[in-house]
Amino acid sequence: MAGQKAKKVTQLKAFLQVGVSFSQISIFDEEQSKKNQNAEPVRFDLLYLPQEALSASLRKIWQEVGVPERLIVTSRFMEKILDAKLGGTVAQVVTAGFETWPILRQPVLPDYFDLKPHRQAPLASKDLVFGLSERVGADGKVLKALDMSELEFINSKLKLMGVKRVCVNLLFSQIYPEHQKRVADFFRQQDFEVFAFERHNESCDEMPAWRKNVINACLSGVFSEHAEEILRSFDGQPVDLQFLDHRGQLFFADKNQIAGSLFSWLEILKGDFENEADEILHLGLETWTLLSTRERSLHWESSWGRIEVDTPKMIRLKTQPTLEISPGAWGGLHLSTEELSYEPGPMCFGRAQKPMVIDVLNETFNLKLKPIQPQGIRRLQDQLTALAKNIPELSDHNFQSLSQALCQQIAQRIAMEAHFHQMHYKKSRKTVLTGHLAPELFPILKKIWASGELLLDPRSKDRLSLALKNHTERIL
Amino acid sequence: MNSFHQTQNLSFLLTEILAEFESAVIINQEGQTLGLRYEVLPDLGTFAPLVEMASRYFPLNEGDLVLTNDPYSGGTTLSVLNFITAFKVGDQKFFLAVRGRLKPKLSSAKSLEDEGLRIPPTPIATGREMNHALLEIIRSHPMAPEGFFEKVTQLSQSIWTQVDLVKSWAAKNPTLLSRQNQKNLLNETQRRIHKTIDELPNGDHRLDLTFETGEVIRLHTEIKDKEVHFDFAGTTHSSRIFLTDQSTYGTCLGAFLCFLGQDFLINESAFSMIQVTTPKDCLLNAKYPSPIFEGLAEITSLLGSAVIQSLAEITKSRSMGLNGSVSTILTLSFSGGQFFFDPVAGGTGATDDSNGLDAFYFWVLSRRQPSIEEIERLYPITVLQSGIRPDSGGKGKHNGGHGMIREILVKEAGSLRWLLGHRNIQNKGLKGAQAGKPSELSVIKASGEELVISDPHGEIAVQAGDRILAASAGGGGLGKSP
Repeated sequence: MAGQKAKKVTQLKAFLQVGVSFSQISIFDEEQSKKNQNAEPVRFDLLYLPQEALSASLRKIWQEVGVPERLIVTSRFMEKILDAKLGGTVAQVVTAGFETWPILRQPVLPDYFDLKPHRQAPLASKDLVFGLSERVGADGKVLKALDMSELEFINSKLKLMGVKRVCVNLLFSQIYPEHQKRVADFFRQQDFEVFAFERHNESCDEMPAWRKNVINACLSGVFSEHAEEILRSFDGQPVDLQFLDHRGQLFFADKNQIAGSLFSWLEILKGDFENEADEILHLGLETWTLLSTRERSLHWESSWGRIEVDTPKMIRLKTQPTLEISPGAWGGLHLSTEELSYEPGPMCFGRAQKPMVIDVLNETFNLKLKPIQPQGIRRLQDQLTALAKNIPELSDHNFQSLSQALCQQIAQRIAMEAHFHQMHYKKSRKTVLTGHLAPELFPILKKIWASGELLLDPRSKDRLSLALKNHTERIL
Repeated sequence: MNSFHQTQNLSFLLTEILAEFESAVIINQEGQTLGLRYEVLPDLGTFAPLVEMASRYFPLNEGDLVLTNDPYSGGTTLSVLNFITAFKVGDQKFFLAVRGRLKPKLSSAKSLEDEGLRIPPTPIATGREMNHALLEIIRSHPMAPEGFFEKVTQLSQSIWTQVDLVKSWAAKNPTLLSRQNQKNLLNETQRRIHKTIDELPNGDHRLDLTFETGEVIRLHTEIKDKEVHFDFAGTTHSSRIFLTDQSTYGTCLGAFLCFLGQDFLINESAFSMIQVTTPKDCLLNAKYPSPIFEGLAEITSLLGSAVIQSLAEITKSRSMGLNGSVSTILTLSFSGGQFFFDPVAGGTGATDDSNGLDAFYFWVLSRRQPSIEEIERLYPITVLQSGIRPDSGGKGKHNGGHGMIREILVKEAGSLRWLLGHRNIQNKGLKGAQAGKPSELSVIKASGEELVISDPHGEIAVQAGDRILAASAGGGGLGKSP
């Protein structure tokens, strides 16, 4: 009933996981959920975001089941724009003498000897870095006091340049935070949006902390739009909307939590399995990740270098559902190192020209995903067969046997990576396999698994929703 | 699974095994290198002789571990520890050799024995039982490298873990490491390499690198009928700087692969790509007890760049100005043996279609700039500035990368050693472009007196309150400015 406001239903609790291309919404009845921790949701939807706008899709769901009292969100949506050149009006105020230091600490690519190495472009403009002549020593003593008149000068320059967001990046601010605090307060009073998060006590490298401020500042605008998009779906009805941060705590307005919130799903997944397994192998539709339930990491190894985010230790596998399948230098069809994406999408969605891993999995397992198009599958089969015919080493050009062979190869790669990246090495470890694609790949993985016990999560397909509900019940 | 999938996955498996280490190699019982991961170019030429030497003198059973840092037994420099072990999968024996780098001490010694403690190939574990008494003797030697014991402990554990992982993987998946699959992998690599070399035109090029101190490296590069030959006939002897022939070979091969833009796991087949001739008695074919450190720090970078230049001349493609990343190395030593090793990265040379990169260790793969907060926690110094040295890259159609500037305030008395490289050749521009600025070093005493240092290497005492101002060289430009 378009245009009609949905009714509010107080016993409904909704949980939303937003990925880069897919989103899952699950709605639980509070009464049922209290009685049974593993209760099925009253509603579960998987949305393909390039075809289904988040706000409109949510509004439709609320109209069908009612507006929930509370919506808890874990979101990786901001990752989507991390590949774009960010920055714009983000300035950095750094300890004087280190204005170009963030550039020199940018990671260099490629990771082998090459005639044209290049640094990853900085997140924020290098022309908006301002030195502040203050200095704190490694023992926390002030070597050079803060000169507030310098701040006035920087302030007038920033205003002239139309800067809206300022990151305060000073050396040893984790030991002596006073300078950072005073500078941050000053710029807040001048109506700038300020990014100066409280560093971890064990932090001993300035750059992951500086990068975190910059990334939070760069994502701030997108995060606000993302939150507004979700709020719009309620048509003005009051709903308690909260996001989860990297430690699984709720937040809404604190922009210093944005970078960490990209990893909140790891924290809640870990929470559901920490008594049952040493590691979690998550084979989702978008990413494949190995996650420790025992160890934590202080850093996120991003493509801009390390960023200070305290998360469960994890490895994003090299083998991913979006890897391109192409004729290789070794002969045959192979898994390339080139990662494609769900936009325009896999061939089986009828939207792209290049086959990728998810296409092969669909060919073998018939994944029954909503966006799959029959004409896309036909085109994929034609293309795989055509590619195979050009490869003299291949005796069998049948696409089904080709897909099956590739599936075996994919499974073997996953098993190898999991085997050699054990984060908590012990001879008898337990790994739980979960995620949307886990049930399909489990039988092949089980045969070749060499790393202790491999268990299949019986709720693989909606585990994240369930974990999110359980986590929220624990913390509220 | 098809055989080419098995071959691809063997390559993937070897990459996963070696990924645990900065540089390491797996060699089969026929002595063929199956996979090699390298951190610096000399690694490419030294690993196979290292394993050959260790297995010749020691039977190397499972759980045995041999240690050496001797450049004349397959090592590179004394600050790099080499570990060699063996393991069995089915009826096959494999060797795993791993390198662990410790902080090097700057040295201008006349003999290898003066550069530090030389450890000839020595068994340090049998059946995974470490010989702690022997390790303690080595550790307590006054010239033992700093962090020796910690590195041995850490790497030996990593080695045992990786061996366990390989064996447990192979027990469940025996076909990947089969002899047939190894053979397929080497054949496939050979085929791929031949395809690349086949595309190179015939031609030759001669190039001389003349050092301020008189030594000459003479390189004749020839590509003829799909064979690539680097001949160093005419290269002089030196009383000061040396490289072993194995390191020379590795440097040439690494630079050649870099020129080709090849990114694949190195195995035995790659060694057939080039031929290198180093005459006896020349500085590129050092014999014991010639010192190694300075040569390795300086010559490998120069040689790598020279190989690229020669290949660019022959193939008329992919030129690159000379890198300014040749040694600008400082060591600050303090009482109690503590020392801060600071290689200040230079700018890289411009290429045909791009500017060089600012302050970058071109010929070292783990290119991490150390954290300022980490440095200051460990050493009695305050870093006053650290960043790009403005206007130091050679100007041209494409500019060389800028060098780096670093200013350090010394908080305790100590001594400063430096190695500034050979400033006459390190950063020339090509095809009408300007050279990058040479490296500079000065010490500003607490009294305000400034001491400008011009010697390519040396040592002076520093006091609390002194400031050290180091500027590394810019890279050479390429092409005339429009």
